[in-house]
Amino acid sequence: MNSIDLFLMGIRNLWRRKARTFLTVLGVIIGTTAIIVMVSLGLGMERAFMEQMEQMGSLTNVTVYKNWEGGSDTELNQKAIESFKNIENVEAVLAQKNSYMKISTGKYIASLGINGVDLDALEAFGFQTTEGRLLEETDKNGLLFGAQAMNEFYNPRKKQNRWEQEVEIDLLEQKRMVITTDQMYGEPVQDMSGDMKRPKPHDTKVVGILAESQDIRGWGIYMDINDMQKILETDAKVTGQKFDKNLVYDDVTIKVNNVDNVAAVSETLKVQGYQTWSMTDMLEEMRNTARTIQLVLAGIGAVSLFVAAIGITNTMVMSIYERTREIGVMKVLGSRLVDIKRLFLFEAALIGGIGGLIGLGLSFGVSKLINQLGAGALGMEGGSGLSYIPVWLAAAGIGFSMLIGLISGYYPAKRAMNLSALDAIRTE
Amino acid sequence: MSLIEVKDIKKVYRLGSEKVHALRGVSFNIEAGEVCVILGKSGSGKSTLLNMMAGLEKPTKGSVKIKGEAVTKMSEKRLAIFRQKNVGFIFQSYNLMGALTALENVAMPLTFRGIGSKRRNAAAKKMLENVGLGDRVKHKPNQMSGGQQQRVGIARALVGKAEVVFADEPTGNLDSKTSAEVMKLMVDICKHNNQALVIVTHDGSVGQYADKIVSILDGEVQNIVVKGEKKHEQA
Ligand SMILES: Nc1ncnc2c1ncn2[C@@H]1O[C@H](COP(=O)(O)OP(=O)(O)O)[C@@H](O)[C@H]1O
Ligand SMILES: [Mg+2]
Repeated sequence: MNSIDLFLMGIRNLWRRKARTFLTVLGVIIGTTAIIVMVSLGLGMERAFMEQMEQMGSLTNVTVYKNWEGGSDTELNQKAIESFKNIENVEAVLAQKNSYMKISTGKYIASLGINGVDLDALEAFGFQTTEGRLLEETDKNGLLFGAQAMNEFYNPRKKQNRWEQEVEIDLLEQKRMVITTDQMYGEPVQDMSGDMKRPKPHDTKVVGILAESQDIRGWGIYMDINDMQKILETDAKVTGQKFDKNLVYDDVTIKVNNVDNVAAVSETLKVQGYQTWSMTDMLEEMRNTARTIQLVLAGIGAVSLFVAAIGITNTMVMSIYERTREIGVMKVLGSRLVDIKRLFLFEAALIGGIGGLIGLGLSFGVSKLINQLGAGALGMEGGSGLSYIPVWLAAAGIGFSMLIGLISGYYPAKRAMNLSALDAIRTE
Repeated sequence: MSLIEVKDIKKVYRLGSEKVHALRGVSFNIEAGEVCVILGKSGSGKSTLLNMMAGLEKPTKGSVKIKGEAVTKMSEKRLAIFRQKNVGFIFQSYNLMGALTALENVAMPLTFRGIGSKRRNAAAKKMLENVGLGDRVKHKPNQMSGGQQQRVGIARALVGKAEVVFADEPTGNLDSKTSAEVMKLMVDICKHNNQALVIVTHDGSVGQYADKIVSILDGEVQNIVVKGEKKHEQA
């Protein structure tokens, strides 16, 4: 029996029992839709994770810490920084030393953490200004201000709490601005207890305002590490505090040329005894979480598809009962055994396939609806949506439903094939 | 070598602890193009015998050879192919496919052989004309009388030009006038195409169409009458 005749016969058989075929197909539609939509939610979630991560900061950055548990020498000094730069695939290293200082301009003061950095690294790490420019070697005590950092200024003479003061100053246009390690500087109430010598403030200037970002650098204030060291040294001399000439950084971030190399660089650093953290570590964790959730969601969908599969088997077995005589007659009239098997398998697969196809269409509709409703409810305007159906999922959805059809049809088909022709035609 | 050789067929059914000897050692031959009527009253074992010959059931003992091949020893798979090539079958209750037209019903055995729709429809149409149903091609079985349905059944059995055609009580559901028409039609076409026709019946009047009459009683051959020869009494 050739395939076209077989197909036509199968389609006719299904058509003959429209109502039951429709109900069985409906089961598959629901099952397929459930599984596709569920997986699409998982995928949408994973994609949302990724986008969020990309917004949060560069995936190619690795943060390095000194090993607090001791062991090998992991001091983040100049020598270490140079060695980091020589690791394969490392593009740039941003080393920072943090120091708490007071900045004053006009009647305003602010207590701020200043990051001393190597100016060469700024550009490589994507520092950009919205006003002014980046720091240059020639800027003596120049400062880069994070967009949000200027909110820290307040007028100490006002009764109003410093946090409640709304201060608007154009940092780039200030006539005279000073910076000092003296935390008492500019405060109206002076602590008279000790007669500790107080250092003189140093002239400073803001050369640029950094572009706003979700990154920590929005609140950061940056300064040439050499200038910072000089200020610290000078002030330490006045107060008589100890100053370690040997520069040790608090914070080191390494930029790797490619996301795929991040793990290798992290590994190299770990072997050398450092502790590291990168967004990619988190990404991996998030991905694993997403996978687990996807599996759970797919499992829920799979249950309904499983029910649909039972529906197909049931329909086909019923069909065999009804068609017992017909099958027997076919056998007596010379149909090959495989033809009977193929016929039943085809009918089952067709139920699966049609259900899958309609289910896929429905899934796209449901997915769109979810995204629209979700965007409204969560205020994710323009976001990429909660549900996401990539091409492979669509293809897998149809393929899977057909496979389910075939599997569900296998037992009935086998049964039809093994039916005794004699018993079948005797059934009067 | 005869076309069909039935040799010492025995069939025992078990009904609980009871044994039913449906056939107790039946032997006879059928020649090519011969019309053979297996005659006997109800319960004598005719259908059982026919089923063995068509390979639908295995005997307890003995063998049936068609064209030298032992159908009693064939696997289901081989039997299907063998039947497709060599055997046509006419049922008492017609057994037409209710969803299919007369033409499609008749073309069905050719479909199983993998013959394309054009050729098989042409052959089926011709066969329907031969049985006098040229104007009922598009009719469904439930739109036809019993006699017409059986003629469709005959066309279906003969369309493949099988060398052997089996018919189990083909006129059992028809009135005597229609029976006579149907019998004549069947015999005429088989004679014309040199097909052997094996008819099982309890109706003695069918004997008039036969070249050979095998009378069966209680699972044993009572006698075999060949037209033009005298009676062969069996012991
Ligand atoms: N499947 C079966 N199981 C048990 N007994 C059977 C079976 N088929 C036929 N018989 C018995 O075998 C005998 C012959 O039956 P059958 O060949 O149908 O007779 P006929 O066709 O001549 O009327 C009967 O007694 C019948 O009851
Ligand atoms: Mg009978």
